[in-house]
Amino acid sequence: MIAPLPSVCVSGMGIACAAGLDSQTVWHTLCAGTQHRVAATILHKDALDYPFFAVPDSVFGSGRRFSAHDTLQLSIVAAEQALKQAHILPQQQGAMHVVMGTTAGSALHFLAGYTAMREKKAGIYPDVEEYFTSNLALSLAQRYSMHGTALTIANACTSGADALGLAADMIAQGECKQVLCGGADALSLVPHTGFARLMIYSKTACRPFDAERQGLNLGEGAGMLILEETEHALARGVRPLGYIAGYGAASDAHHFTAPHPQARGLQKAVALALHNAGITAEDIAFINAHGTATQENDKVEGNFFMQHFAHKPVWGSKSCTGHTLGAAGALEAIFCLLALQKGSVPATHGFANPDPQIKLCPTQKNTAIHSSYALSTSLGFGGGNAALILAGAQL
Amino acid sequence: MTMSKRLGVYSMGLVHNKGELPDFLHAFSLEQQATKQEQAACYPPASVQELGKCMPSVPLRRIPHYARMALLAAHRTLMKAPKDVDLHELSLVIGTAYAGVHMSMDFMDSIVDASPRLSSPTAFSHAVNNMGAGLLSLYLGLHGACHTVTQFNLSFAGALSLAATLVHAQRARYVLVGGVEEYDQRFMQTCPQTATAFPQAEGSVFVLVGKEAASKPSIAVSWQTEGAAAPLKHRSFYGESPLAQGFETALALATVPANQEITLSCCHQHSQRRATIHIKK
Repeated sequence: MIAPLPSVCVSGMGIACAAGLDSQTVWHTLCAGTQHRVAATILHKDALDYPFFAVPDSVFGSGRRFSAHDTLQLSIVAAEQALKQAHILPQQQGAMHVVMGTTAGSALHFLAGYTAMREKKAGIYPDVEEYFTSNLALSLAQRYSMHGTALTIANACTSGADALGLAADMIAQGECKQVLCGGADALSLVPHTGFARLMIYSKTACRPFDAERQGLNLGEGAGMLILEETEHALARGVRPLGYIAGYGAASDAHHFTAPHPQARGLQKAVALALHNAGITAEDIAFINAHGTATQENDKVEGNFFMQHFAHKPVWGSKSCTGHTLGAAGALEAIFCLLALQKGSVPATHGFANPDPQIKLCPTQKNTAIHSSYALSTSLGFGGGNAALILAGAQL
Repeated sequence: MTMSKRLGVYSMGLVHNKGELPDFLHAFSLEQQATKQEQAACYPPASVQELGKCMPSVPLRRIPHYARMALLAAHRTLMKAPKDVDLHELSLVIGTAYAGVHMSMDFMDSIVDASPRLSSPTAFSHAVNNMGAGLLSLYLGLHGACHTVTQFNLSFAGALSLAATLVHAQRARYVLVGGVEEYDQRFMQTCPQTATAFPQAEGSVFVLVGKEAASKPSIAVSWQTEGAAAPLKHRSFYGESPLAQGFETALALATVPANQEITLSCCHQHSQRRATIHIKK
């Protein structure tokens, strides 16, 4: 069995998503339930009519390039915030490791270049070039002169959570003292079309766990954290913002795209995370669910929570950010830490009526919390499950 | 320099254009003695026919070629694994530069040819980077954590690094770790920068790793950002692929004499990051 995780703290955080470009704005959006969805035609004139949660174009500097570079740019915007908050100077970055999660950011989505090749147009295809020069972990490590291990994790929707968990393990094993980690994904026509064609995408605002839910909304964004050995942070005079107290990951081995009906993998991942943190379900203040608002995910996750965390507040935040794919697990870890700081959990916007097949009622108003631990769950294509236990700074 | 903790290597399996491990090694020994011959731009596709015989219950028609190569190499590795390997606890790490290239290109073709409205959802779902790991988890019955590392020619080394973290964090007693790459003509035409003088190859290499053991070869990965990498020695044999370091590792594990150490370095040009695999027999 895995050993309890020694103290791994969060010394810096950075966010860029549709809910905002800084923690304060994001928290306000999460509480107010404001939704910044835009027409998909900003990705391409032929994009299917499924709005998504977009980050402001200003984040992309000279504009979206619809290449892997857009994802890298999002991660840089968030990484700058995290490094600044952690008070890490450039000359102190050399020994850091980098672990990044992404989905679209590492995929072959260079449609413009491929189309030009098919039409036998000579020349350099910028989106193809940028695919090769924008690998998240390798590029961030180079940019910030971080000479430790650099890993880009592509585990679909659990990528962000897995990146954080693996980064915490690296510190726990004494491989390093600090890790720049997180998740990022920017959208383009290819992934947007793919998800729309899977028939799990709702044209209206998503409604996590609701009886009338119609599917997910895609989003884009980046969540970046500096994880650090707690003693190391304190010795530097930096106050932890919270802790990664536990992590667990497991596979359903059930179906290509649908989750195991009895949440076999999720149950194992959560159990591992709780054991890793040295706590039980009773110690959990609230849960941030994966909560994509698809029929299958919410049924499986909802039933699991009803069985094992029946009286705990469950919060679905994707109605304010969309499903940000590889960024989701990292962004939602940050949201958990913000909630633990504030001592309350926002409402699950979009939810109105419980599904009789689940009976779960997620939070419907701002809810006070009474413990120092949060559970964040992620479920991914391919049957992956990840669970993170976040602890508040007051621990 | 950063170095991962050492792992013991318990078994290995391979799929390559030149055959499975015994044939691959036999061809290697023959080629060491042969005179140079003109080489084609790419090798014929790696054969995965054996998969139908050794895993008859697996619905092969639903599995793309990329995942079949990984599944066959993983199966070959597990056939030689120690008896105490519990598939329900086994973790999996796959390193892949481009994942399911053929399905990715198919999906883009369907967007261009049929419009987004009629594009292929099957091709998209198989193009997601971690579908190889998902399919292996499903058809081999692996319930442990499954991860995919994607960072071009450093993907195999990255997967080994991650496996070392999993083992030494006590998240897994054993990890099935490997790489898989697929050849696709459309990809090569779009990305000519990936071509070299060597024929394009495809295939998969897997090793089963765990804590170091006295009777087993050991393996570790170090990462640097300075210095050049000596070219991998045998690319003229196994061909050009982001999995070159994986094929080289397989050759080293199979052919390097006992009590010897060997290092295999690979550099990602743009980021100037170098991964060195250290093998001790």
